Amino acid sequence: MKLVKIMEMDNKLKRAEALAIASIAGTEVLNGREEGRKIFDKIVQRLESLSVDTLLPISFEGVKFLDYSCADEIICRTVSRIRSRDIDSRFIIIQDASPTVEENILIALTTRETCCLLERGNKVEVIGKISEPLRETYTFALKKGVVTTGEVEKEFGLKVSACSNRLATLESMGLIYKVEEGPTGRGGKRYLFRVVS
Amino acid sequence: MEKRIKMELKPAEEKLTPISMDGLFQDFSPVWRRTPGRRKKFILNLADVKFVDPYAAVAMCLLIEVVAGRLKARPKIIPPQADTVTGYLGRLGFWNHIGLVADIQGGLESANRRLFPLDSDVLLELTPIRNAKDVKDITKHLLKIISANLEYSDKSINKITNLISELCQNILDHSTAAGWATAQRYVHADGTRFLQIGVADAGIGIKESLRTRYPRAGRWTHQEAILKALQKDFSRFPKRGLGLYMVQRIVEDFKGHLHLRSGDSRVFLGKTQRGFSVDWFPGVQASISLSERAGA
Repeated sequence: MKLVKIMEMDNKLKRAEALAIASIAGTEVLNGREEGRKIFDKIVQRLESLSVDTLLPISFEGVKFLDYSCADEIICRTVSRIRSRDIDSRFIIIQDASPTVEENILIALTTRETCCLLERGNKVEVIGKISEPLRETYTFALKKGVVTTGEVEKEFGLKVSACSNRLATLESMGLIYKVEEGPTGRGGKRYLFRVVS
Repeated sequence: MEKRIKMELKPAEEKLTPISMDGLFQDFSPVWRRTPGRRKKFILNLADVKFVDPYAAVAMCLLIEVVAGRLKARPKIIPPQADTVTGYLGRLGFWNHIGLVADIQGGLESANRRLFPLDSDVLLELTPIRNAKDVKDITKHLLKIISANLEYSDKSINKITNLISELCQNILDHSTAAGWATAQRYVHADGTRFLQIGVADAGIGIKESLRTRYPRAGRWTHQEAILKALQKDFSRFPKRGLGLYMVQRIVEDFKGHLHLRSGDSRVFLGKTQRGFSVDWFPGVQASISLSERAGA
């Protein structure tokens, strides 16, 4: 039976206009949970207004300082909300963070044992805490752009179930997203996984 | 006729530090236990004091404020005889602040006019913490001062600013009362440099703050409450609890010391961890010492 490819050729996420944190906060110095919470509320509001399969860049341009508690409220809570599927199929990526702001976001994410995407120039990477197996799978997916369970199986020599688990976990973390390619011909569906960028 | 009881507190030691301040708080506890509302003449005699560290400066601010509020009479403060100490306190802004609630022997202007060391390195003057704007102003000031004047890496500046931001934010988030912060840089005779920070409030204290979320905290000692507050995720608010945990981590990075006093306990964290029973005083008082060489 022919495999019907229903995937569009350019099945990438829509990229929304970046949300500028310094602009929302009205200051270059961000302290504390209360301030973080107000910004978090704005991010969630914005995410909910976007259509599915949209990537929202969160820009820290102009932010000179962000303490850990504020970073926790802004980024970790947003990541948690996305992972809990409250805001389904929307994604975030951090951009324009100075080294010290990036470091504080990293510390907040690592302390909360979670992670997020960061854009540095035209490179995308994962910051925060991610297990080695998941990191290597993500790195492989990033290199390829699009992967299938079969390709992961071939690359790492793992069972299909283990590969599916890895990809499903990366998907739940908002690092990759699933695109339906079409029926397998054996009653199942075939999926591709694309890196969020 | 209203009975006036004279009460004079004089520090037993010449150097006021977290440890010697325990003695002052101990002498203060009878004052705290007296019935509020009765007018009392209270004197804080600092005449023999030869050194005041940032913790002692903020703690004395609190003590004087608490006394003034409790006894409904303006306390009297006898400044140190040593010009360098009185001048240093003036440089911190100490006399200006306490002059609002207390009478200074010799007058406020006289205390402020006395000489102070030219190499005094006050990073942050005594600053009240009443609202989010105060914390933001402190952070902006520190970022400017530390970058311009100290030889810390950007990473270290970031950590120090975070530490002070988190401590000050804790006052707003948990204390229910205003507080004070100050920071000073010291140089030892052998050239080693370190930063000392004092942050304090006279609010509800750690145990009471945690009790809003953990009812069993009522059965903890104050020392247990302090140690729990230093753990990750332990906070009166759910899904929070990073502040004091991160403060402790930064102090470790800098191979520094932390004294954290609340209720009737003071906990010291450095190369060792020790707990001390002390006389009760409201709120939380913290002293942090960071080596300038470590922490990069």
